[in-house]
Amino acid sequence: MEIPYTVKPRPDTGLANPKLGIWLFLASEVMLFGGLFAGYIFMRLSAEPWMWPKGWLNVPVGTFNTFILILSSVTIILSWESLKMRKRGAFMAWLAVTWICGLLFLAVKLGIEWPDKFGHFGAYIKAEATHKYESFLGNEDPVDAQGKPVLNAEGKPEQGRISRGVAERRFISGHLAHSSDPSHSALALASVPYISPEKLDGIIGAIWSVRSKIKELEPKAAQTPAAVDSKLTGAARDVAEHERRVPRQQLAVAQETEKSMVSLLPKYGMSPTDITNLLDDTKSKEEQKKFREAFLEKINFIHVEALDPENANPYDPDNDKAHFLPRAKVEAGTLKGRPHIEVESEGGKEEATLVLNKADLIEHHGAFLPKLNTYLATYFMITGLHGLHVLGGCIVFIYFWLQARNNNYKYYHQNHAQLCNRIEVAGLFWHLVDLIWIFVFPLFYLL
Amino acid sequence: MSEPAAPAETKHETVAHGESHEHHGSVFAHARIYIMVGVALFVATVLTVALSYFDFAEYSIFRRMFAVIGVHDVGINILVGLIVATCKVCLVGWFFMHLKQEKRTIWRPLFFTFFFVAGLFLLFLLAYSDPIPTTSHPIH
Repeated sequence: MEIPYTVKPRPDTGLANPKLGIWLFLASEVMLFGGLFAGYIFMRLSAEPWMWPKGWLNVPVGTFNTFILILSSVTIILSWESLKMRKRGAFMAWLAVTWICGLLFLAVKLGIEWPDKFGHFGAYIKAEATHKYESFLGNEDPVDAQGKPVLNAEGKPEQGRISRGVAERRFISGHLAHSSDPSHSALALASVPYISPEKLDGIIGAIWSVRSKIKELEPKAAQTPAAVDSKLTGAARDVAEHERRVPRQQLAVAQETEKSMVSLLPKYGMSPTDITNLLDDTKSKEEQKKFREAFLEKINFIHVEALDPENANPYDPDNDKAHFLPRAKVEAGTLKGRPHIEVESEGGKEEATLVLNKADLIEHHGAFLPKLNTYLATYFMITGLHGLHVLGGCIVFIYFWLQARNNNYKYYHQNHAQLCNRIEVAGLFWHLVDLIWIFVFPLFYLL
Repeated sequence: MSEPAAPAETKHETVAHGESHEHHGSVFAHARIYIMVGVALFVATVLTVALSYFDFAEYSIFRRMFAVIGVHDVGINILVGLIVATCKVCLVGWFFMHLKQEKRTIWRPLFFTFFFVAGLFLLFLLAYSDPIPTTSHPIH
């Protein structure tokens, strides 16, 4: 079927259909992203000052991607113009540069930016526990052991964030230390909620009580019940029949309960070895206590290495801002002697880890994934949606490029006007993708 | 169809026949404009990055200026960032998307889109404005 008005203008609109169609589509896209951006700004402005991150995204990488997209916007229009002038070589070359730029943009996004987030770890400290981690948050003016103000390199007292008039910090971030437990990754262990000793005792006690019930019921259920007295009739007989079955039914229920309770244990971060050890009631009380303590130590404490500079050196006002150039890596030496810091030397190299107690953290902590906070949720959603648009544009451009390359005659001579329109319409879409990024870049990376 | 090479009176004919009029000199002039707009966009990107490291709220003159329209603190930087972004968007729309020579049929729905989006963006000012003065809170 021939689609009408792909090249000729429609008499009533005065435009070829694809042109009007793409503009209406672009208008709806503008409203979609406009709504998303407006929603983002609302959340940004009404968030608690300590809650909103600044400087999490890599500005040089984002700027590079912005340049790439602007470049591709220029090249697609040069490609269209070369096509109009029937300069096939230039058309093909500019078109190729456009989709290569598009793919490069996606490669940077998926190869550098997103994986960088997946490897990062962050946690918000509860308001009542911030004093414990003061030397990493830097909210109050620091004092030494004698209560005297700590002086900076210039001999002036160091100022905390509150004195500097900067929003309070309650966030600690870095990388997770590797897990010593082969059955759970460090991230999986960090994601398990805090378990208090009482709760662990409760869980183990509940399973033990079901197990002792099972032990009690097993011999009874194994016995062949005596036959019901043949003289019994009516309700009395029914009761007797029922009682014959009770031990076996109770055992089945208890076994089922025990099974489902044990199946929940991996959710608390217990490996099969942990489960065996923790539920072993043949061990002495001391040994049981030892197992429980070791387990709680593993599950309730998060070891963060490679602390971010804003936590390692929180009194430096330079660390309050987003940085264009990456900041220097934190040396283990600068963290030595601070509370909650453990220094281990491995192969002559020292690695300092900050030990966070899960009881001090608010519920959401983990890798820089959408669930960590609203900022990351909107970041992944909007950059993901934009990335899909880039991918769609690349697919269309590659399709046109291959078609023009393989089917030279048809599209170059016979359907030249149609090819011009196709490139123009796809180009309009591509410019919109660029426009959206022009808003995404300052909103997410810079402000 | 926007035809950069063709003079206005031949535009319709060009569309009707799907042929291009090859006024090479004029086309080269267009290519130069596109490249210049591209360079302007690069410069505006550098400006955006530079402005983000400048804290407007630190200076009382900017604080007072923006307080008039109800924008405070980080809102000032956001508003300035959005203004630069809007200028970049206008450049892309006007030159790359050929809106400067587009027909009314295209412009008309775009006006509605513009007002809708502008309305959405202005909504964020409400986050800082307080319509009932007696309940106003000190700005943190």
